[in-house]
Parts: sequence; C-alpha cells; structure tokens
Amino acid sequence: MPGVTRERVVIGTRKTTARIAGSEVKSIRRSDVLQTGLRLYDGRNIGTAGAIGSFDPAELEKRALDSISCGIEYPWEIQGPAVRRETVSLKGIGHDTLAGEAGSFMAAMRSKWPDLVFSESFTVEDTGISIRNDRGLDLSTVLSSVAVVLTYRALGSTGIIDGWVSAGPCRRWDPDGIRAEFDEFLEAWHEPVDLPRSGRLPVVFGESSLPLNRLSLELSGHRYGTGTSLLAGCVGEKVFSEGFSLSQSRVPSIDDCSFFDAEGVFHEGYSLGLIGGGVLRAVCTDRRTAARFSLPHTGSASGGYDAIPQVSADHLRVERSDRTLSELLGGEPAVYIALASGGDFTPEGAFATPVQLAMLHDGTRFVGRLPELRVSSHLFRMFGDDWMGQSADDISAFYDSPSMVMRMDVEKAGD
Amino acid sequence: MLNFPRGLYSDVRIEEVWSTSAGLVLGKLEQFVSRHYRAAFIRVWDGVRWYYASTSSVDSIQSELDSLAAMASPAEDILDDPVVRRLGCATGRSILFDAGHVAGVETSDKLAKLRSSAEPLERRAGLADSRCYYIDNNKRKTFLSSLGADLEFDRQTVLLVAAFEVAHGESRLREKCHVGAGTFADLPDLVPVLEERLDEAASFVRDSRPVDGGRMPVILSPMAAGIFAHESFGHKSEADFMLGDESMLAEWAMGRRVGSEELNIVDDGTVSGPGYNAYDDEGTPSRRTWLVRDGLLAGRLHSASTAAALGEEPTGNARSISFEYEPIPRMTTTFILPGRETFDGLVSGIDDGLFVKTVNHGSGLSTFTLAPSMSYRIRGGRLAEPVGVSVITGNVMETLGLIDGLSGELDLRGAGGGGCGKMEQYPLPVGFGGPFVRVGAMEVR
Repeated sequence: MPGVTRERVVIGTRKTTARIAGSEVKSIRRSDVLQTGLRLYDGRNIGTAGAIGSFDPAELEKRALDSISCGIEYPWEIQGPAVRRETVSLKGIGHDTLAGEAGSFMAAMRSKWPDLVFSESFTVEDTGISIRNDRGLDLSTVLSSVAVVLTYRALGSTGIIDGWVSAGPCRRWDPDGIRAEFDEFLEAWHEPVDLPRSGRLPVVFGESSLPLNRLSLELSGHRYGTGTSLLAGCVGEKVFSEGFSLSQSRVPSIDDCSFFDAEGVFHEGYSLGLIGGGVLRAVCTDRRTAARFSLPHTGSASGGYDAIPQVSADHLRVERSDRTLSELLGGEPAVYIALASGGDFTPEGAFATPVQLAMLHDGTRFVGRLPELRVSSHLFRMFGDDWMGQSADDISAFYDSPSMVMRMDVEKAGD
Repeated sequence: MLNFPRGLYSDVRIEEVWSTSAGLVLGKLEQFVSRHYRAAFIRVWDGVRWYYASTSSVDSIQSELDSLAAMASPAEDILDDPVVRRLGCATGRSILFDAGHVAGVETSDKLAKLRSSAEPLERRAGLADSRCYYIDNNKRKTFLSSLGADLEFDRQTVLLVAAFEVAHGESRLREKCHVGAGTFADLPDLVPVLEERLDEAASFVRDSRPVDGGRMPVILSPMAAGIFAHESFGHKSEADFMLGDESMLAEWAMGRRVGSEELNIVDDGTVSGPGYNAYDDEGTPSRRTWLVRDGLLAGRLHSASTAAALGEEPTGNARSISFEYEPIPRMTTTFILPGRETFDGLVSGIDDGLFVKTVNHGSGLSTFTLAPSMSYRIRGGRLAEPVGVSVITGNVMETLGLIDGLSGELDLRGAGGGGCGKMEQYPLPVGFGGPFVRVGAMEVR
C-alpha cells in the first residue's frame, strides 16, 4: 500500500524448564513460541497486528491496516537505517542436558539440606528479539541463559515459604560454584541471630527491589509530564546524594534484554545517564511522551510484540561506586533484605515494609538469620542523605549482583 | 485424530483465544491490540515424572506428543497409577459464549463504549492523570486425553477499567474502579461508578489526615475482605506447598480450628466471573470446595498430582495462565461466606476503629499486610473522618480467629484486568470478595 511504512517485530522464545517439587525434579517442560508483530505507519497514525505461530502475511497486513483506522496518532518519523546484531551465549549446559544437571544438583541439595523442602525451577532459555522496517532498520539480539530459583521451607514450618536462593540469568553453568554460594547462604540461614540494635542501620538491597522499582515509576516521563512524579520539575536539580548515579542500561549480557527499545532506538554503549552525582539529568520517554510534554527523547519505549509502543522506565541500573560492600559498611553489620512482601511507598514517598527474611551480613559473608523486621524511610532519604553507595563487587560470582546500601530505620516486627 | 502413546497417560489442551485491549491515556487513544490465535499444551505422565511441551504451532501436536513420549518410560500398569486414577474421561461441550462472542462485536462499538465510559474523566477538573481501558477475552479450550476425555469449554470476560490520580496540595491519591460482565451486551455502565469514585476520591484527598494508628477493631469492605481471604488463606490452601513434608500435613489436618466459628471460606469455580471455569486444565469439573467451615479447616485445592500425593481427590483447581504453562493448584473464586448482620450493625458495635473501603494490594505469608487506599475512622458507632493508612498488618491465624461479625450481603468481583500471581504464572484471572467483615483487632499504621 503506497505511503505506508512497514515495521516487523519478531520474538522467538525457546525454553526448557525442570520443575522442582519436594526437592526433586518432578517435571520437564519445553516451550517453543514464535510471536510476530506488524506495525504500519501512514504518516499520521499507527496500526498493529500480531500472530502467534505460523500466519498468513496478507491477513496480518489486512488486520494492521484495519487497526490504522482506530486513529491512534503516530506522526513521528520512525527509526532510520541501522544494522546491528548482539548475541549473548551460554556455556556448559543446554536444553538437552538441563534435566540431568538439575537432577544431580537437587540430589546434592537433598543430601546437604535434608531439613529443607525445595521447590521451583531450573531454566535454560534462548530468546531472539528483532525489529526491521522499510527504512533499513535491522536490529536483533539473541540471549541465552540458565537460571536457578529454589524456594524452601523447613520441615515442620507452617509457612508457604521460609526463604529462597537463586542464581541467574547466568551465562555459564558452574553447578559446584552455584551450590557453594547457596550453601553459604543456607548455613547462615540456619544460624538465628539477633538484631544488633534497633534504629538506623545499614540495609542492603539487590538491584531488583522495591526502592528501585518505585524510583523507576518516578522517572517515567509520563508521570513527570503530568506532574504526578515526586521528581516533577526537578530536571537539572540535585535531588539525591552526590554518590548516587543511575542509568538506563540495555547491555544485553548484563541486563538480559535487547539493546534497543520497542521503537528500535539504541544508544552507543547501550546506556544513557538519567541521574549523575545526584542531579536529575533526564526522565524516561518514548516518542509520544517526549512530544506530548516537550521532553528529550530517551529511547524508553516498551510493549508486547503486537502492541503500540509505550513509555516505561525499565532497565535502570545504579552505577557502581569504587568501593566494595565491605568498604561501604566500614565494619558495621548490615541488614540484607532477602524477602520483603507487603510493603509500599505512600504517594508522598514515605516507605515501610515488613521483612519476612532478613540476613545479617558483615560485608564479606552472610552471618546469620535475623528475626522478622520492619524497615522504613523516605524515597528522598534513601537515595539522598542516607545513601551509602552501590558496591563495586557482586554478591554472586555467577551473575550481575551488586549491593545497594542505604541507612534505614529498622525494628523487630512486633516491637 | 491423535495417536496417544501406549503405556503412558497423555493429554492435549488446545487454546483458541480472541482478545482486545484498548486504552485511552489523558483522553487520547494510545493502545489498541486485537489478538486471535490457537496454541497447545501437551502433557505426558509415566508414573514418575511429567513431560510437558507448549507450542504455537498446532500442526505439530502429534510430533510434540511423540517427542515427549520418547523421553518418558512407559509402564504397563499406568492405568493403576494414583494420579491417572484421579484423572477423568469426561466428554462434553460447555460453550456459553457462542452468542455474545466478543469477536462478533465491531471494533467501532468497543471504542465507542470506551470513549463514552471515560467521559467523566474528561469533564472532571483537577485530575492529574487518567486512563481508561476496554479489555475483552474469550478463551475456548479443547481437551483430549489418552483416557478418552474429549471436552470443549469456554470462558469470556469483558471489562471497563478507569484509573486516575487526584491531588490537593501535597496530598495525592491514585484510585481505580471497574465494571465487568460475560458479554459486551451485559456490560454495566461504568459512568455512575466512576462518577461516585471520583467524588469520593476528591473529598478524600482534600479531607484525609494520617491515621493515629494502633491496635483497633477494623471493618473490611467486601473487596478488602476478599483480598485478605485470597492472600492470607487461599494461597495456603493450594496443596502443592504441602508436598514432601509430613509434619506440614499434620499441622494442616482437616478439622483443625483456624478461625472463629462464624468463619466460612470457599473456593468455587462455578461462579460466573473471572474465576469461572467449566473444567480445569486437566479436565476435572469445577466445583465448590469448602476451605473453612464453621472455623474448622475443611479442604484444600488440588490438581490430580497433589490429590494423589496426599490421598485426596482433585477439586478442579489445576489451572494455568496460558498455553505456555502447566496446570498447578490455583484458586478460582475464593470468598468468605456472608453472615446475618448489616453493615450499619457492624459499625455500631465499634466505639473506636477503622473501616477499610479500598485497597491497593495485599500479601499474606505468616504475617499478612493490606495497603489501604481509602479508609475511614469509626467513632462512637458511626463512620467518621477519612484517614490515610499506610498498612494494616497482623498474624494470619490470629486474625482469622478474631473475626467477630459478617454482613449479610455477598459482593464478588475480580482484579479489574490484573489477576493472581504464583511464581512465574501471572496473571491468572480469579474472583474474590465476600461480605463486610469485622475483625476484633488489627494493627493499623
């Protein structure tokens, strides 16, 4: 059809999962799913259609054309010529060997930890994501990984879950090394310890945590533009600690995602600074949000294979400091948050959460299991005056896992 | 015609899905996705281990079945296997939505309904942000098994969801509301629901103050009570978490007291709404399962595998979120049964307490939490001023024992487009709700 530009998004996922129940491999699941999305642009509007599995290209095009008549505006120029591929491979395990490896791993876990009942999964996954259009854009990322997630309950426990250990996404399979890390954590878990004291203590979060999730909401260009973000009007201002810098990062090997966003936009080095030295430099925008609120375009579109791209503040990464976790703590014991469910921020930014599983950490190792706790603070304090830093080192040797350290109010649950 | 491998149990679930999702953001159409696809999930059981495959190519079902069978170890006595003995061989057709199928509704009608439903958001001054969505989904499943099961059944939901943020000075409040039905024609009018919620949110954000917290009696709205029952007790009723632990079975023995005598909790997959299923995803008919009866533990939610492991019977709760996943024990529509009191009667019995009307989210491990959105103090037996509450929390079992009053109405609903999550499988459509529930004491912060 003349005057219409075509763009095709293809996501192929091949996944094998060994499911664990009662500490044994109880099932093997294979999936092979191909998703194809077609976007049509007529210069004013966008139309989309998608298919799962095989499809009739003419029928897909007709549905996308029909969708244009819905009148979803998209007057912006789409991404121009660029050809690039990134591949992240996996070593040491594959789809065919996963079941055997999982079985051996769990046999060792049963032997070492007969008092614990493990559940969940081992997964090997290959994902291919590509975007191509009539203007010469041809980008693709292929990601392969293995991941282990094991939740556990102690025999006799009345809860659904007492804790969990995980590794992944990993790019190499080292069962002995991973098990050694699990063992270290579980040995400490078996050692109840008391909270050194109530009050303000160093608290350690992993990257994917409630504080960072909330910060990502506040960095959405939509919220910023509507004035509903706590950071509204603050671009160019110092909002957090000088030691706090944050980027939108789409490095496939580290962030386990494509290097381009849902509109085919990417940055050299696959990273874009949003907060530098505590100063808010930019908020996340796709083309629509950038135009609507006259904000710089940051390439932050997301969406399913057949969806209209929308803004999201995903793939945020706190920049590492030059200090290890041990150096950040300076000899002080820290509360490591292993399981915290049910907490939230208030609309004004105050934060509180129950912590169902917290571990005492001395900067180099897990020391013991703390009682159930409550932690509280405020968004601007957590990343501001109470920010202690992002560790230079990782909690695990097998995947990207720096520690985010901040001082918070900590008390025992029930106090 | 499928050739099921010998010496093994096997089944195939083919899902045909039609869905639409359209969204207005700040009054402009920004999202429209219309899907129609067929895909399949295949299972093989050899008495020791399950082998699964999911495929988006339904032409490859036989080859996937053969491939899984090659991984398994056939057993001559597979029909005597405890899991297989609990799997049915029912045949039948339970298609409720041939008439009123969402695929038969014109896109223009869906978009017109969305736009007219969002009008209150357009008219209202002072909204910082607003969104409105039209969402429909029809899923038709064909289930075939080596035992001879041959079923075809469907489910369908149509939803209108509105979400908005109001601000007053430094105070802000995000709220949402929704209406739903089985067919487009039956969809209730969102406008009066939304108008009422907008009015209440505006006065709430203007007048509410942080609660002077502490331990106090609390009345939970049907929505709040439903989330509490789902999170704090429903998940503990899913039998897979008991596997491999005899002491857990002793702890959760039938007949054990888990709540006050007034407390009855059921899970019922036959109730219309998001939790409805004629059959579960391994062909077991849905039914009502009593989880708590008169305060005593009365049942749990099973798949055939968990039922066999615990020496019990399947309950029709083996569910998956899509063709990509295996069925596991999940809730359907879970709710506290009503009592005999009125809402006013429940309030009049409280001198100093709290009424929780809407909730953002909840969780329920050994300690449960509810994060209320709009709450009101109760003073001298009457509803009083609006208050901002960060969290309501307590020990699950202790709180179940402190339920001392239930109203007579039953209000069941869904999550308004979201659903229940269990590890990798999210979101699963479920229903929840109940009556107004009075709890003698809860920790309010």
